[in-house]
Amino acid sequence: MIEDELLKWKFRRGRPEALARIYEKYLDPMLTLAMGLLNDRAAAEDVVHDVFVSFASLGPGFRLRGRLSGYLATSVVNRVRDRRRRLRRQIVASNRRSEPARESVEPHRAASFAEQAAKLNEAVAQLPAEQREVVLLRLKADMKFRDIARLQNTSINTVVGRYRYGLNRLRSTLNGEVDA
Amino acid sequence: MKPRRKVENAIRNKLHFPAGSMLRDRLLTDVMNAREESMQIRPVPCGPGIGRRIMKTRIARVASVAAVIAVAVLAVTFWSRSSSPAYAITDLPLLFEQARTIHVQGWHYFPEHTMPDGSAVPPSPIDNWTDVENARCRFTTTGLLAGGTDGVKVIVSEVVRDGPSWMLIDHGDSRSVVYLSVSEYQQKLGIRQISKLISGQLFGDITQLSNSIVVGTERIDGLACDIWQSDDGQGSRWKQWLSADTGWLMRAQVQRKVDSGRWKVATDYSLIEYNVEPPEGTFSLEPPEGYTASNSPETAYPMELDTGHCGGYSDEHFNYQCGSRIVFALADGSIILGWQSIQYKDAEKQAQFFEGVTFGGPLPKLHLEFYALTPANGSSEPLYTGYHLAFTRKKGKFFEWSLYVPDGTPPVDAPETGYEVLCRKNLESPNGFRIGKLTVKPEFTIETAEEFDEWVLGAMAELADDGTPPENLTYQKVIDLAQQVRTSVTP
Repeated sequence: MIEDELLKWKFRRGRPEALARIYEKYLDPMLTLAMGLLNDRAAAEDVVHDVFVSFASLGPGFRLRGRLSGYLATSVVNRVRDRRRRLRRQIVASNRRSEPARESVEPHRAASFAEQAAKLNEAVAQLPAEQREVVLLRLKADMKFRDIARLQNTSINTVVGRYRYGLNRLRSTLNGEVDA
Repeated sequence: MKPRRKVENAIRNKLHFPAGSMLRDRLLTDVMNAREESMQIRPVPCGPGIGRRIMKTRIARVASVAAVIAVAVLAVTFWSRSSSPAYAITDLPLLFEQARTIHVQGWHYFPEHTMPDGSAVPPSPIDNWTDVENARCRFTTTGLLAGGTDGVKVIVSEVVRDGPSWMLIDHGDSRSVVYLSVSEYQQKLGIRQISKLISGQLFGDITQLSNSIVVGTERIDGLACDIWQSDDGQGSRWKQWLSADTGWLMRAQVQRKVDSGRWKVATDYSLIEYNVEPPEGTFSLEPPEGYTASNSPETAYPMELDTGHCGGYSDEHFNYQCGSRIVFALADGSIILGWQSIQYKDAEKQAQFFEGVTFGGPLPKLHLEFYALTPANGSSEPLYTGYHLAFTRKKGKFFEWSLYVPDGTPPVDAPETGYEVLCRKNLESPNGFRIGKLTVKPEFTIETAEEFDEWVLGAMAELADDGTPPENLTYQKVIDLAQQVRTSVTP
């Protein structure tokens, strides 16, 4: 926590080493989060790219009262939502089949992932979008239910419920598949 | 069915997708570019001049201004109690350049803060070295993080500059280093500006003037020194010890007025030595023992040309940004300014503004147009009107190179005090722009065609994709244009 406060402080003062450290520290977690939400490596990389470039553009004067990880995770979620909305519009406009074009892991890509991570991701991908968001933000971005509720524009009880339902479903899906 | 806790642990610990090297490389480049751009668009001093970045902490800023006064006093005519010679302000850079090395030691104190138990915040040491001959330096930067659960925290970093590489050392919790690289042109500029670099570390901006008076005398290492002092009326006091014989700065101090009304030392440059041999390894670019490196000198983050004497503006959503990159004065008083104005949502649209622009013609109607300059000393005269010289393009960004010609006699000290940029908004809805005062200062005065080729065309080449300056642009053509403009505006 204190490291993040220092990073924020330095980043506000335009210190390049702070940005480099933030990048090193949060690139993989944010990519994992985006992967979990999109289940599409290329799309996840695009989202994370946009999030970090946008963050770097904030530069001096950047003020953030909350947690850095929460801010970045929220940015990832917002961009994932934007992407889904865009995809939906494109699909409607082109009268394509209604299934999302990039919602499945391509076999040759999946083969390069760690097997367990891929299985976990497949399981997470089967959750409804809201439950998926809550589970990933809670477990991968360490966000508080209160903050997730604000992001999803709903009550804490609803978010806790989504989390519980999501975990129950994962328990069922992952039974015997992945070691903890 | 798996217990819930096991599922949670599995997601936490096993769900992990590391970024590939291709993404890392692509992203890192874009992130650092975005950062560089963001550094130029704020109405605050910015740029790669690490020496200037120390000015972003309050303590360092105060300290720097203190030292500014030390320089400023050299320009003030000594009054009755002093037998010291009077020095012109321009003498100080010369004095610095005469030294082989400069070593500064001292302490930062934090008189306005206390630890949670009420005790004083431990002071932070200053130990700066400048190797004037070889244009190398190592200096400390200090900041204070207040208000956390741990009370206050002193944050110390160091910068080592040697040749094309800079090493930034974070002495905080991360204990890490990061490398930056500068081009050959930037190195040359750094060497040419070594006195500015030194004064930047010690004093900040040497051109800021203030009134100081001699309040006493003292001997330092056997040398008679006059003690100069000035207050800013806002709780800061500066004291400098200047050798009466040589004009060298021997000691400098910043004091702050605390709640009790007493003055307490905030920064004390207690030892300033000249021509002392630096200890071995002072300018080593090896990470200190126990420190991790985010990158290496070979993978150092490249820094784009930006002299750090400029600034810029942006709109509130960062869709539009503009700022200046480098400034030169010409011997006839005209100014050459390299600047940019970018619409980020569609950078390609910049191209349309440069269609049809001609040498000596009006400036391109960019979203925010730096249409003229005035002296930064508060005078509105003369007005320096801008004319287009050339443009360059690098990584999708356009850079405008303009000539600003005064319509009257320029103030003698204008190149030292700088110029205020006058901006015109060519936006359909300009309300989102935050416009503050933007002052630019020339690096130095270009007096010959050779200097023009080396420095002005060199800067243009730095900010061009192909590394070459615009064709057919010569010193003589620029001088002739300035003369033609002056003739046309002079009654």
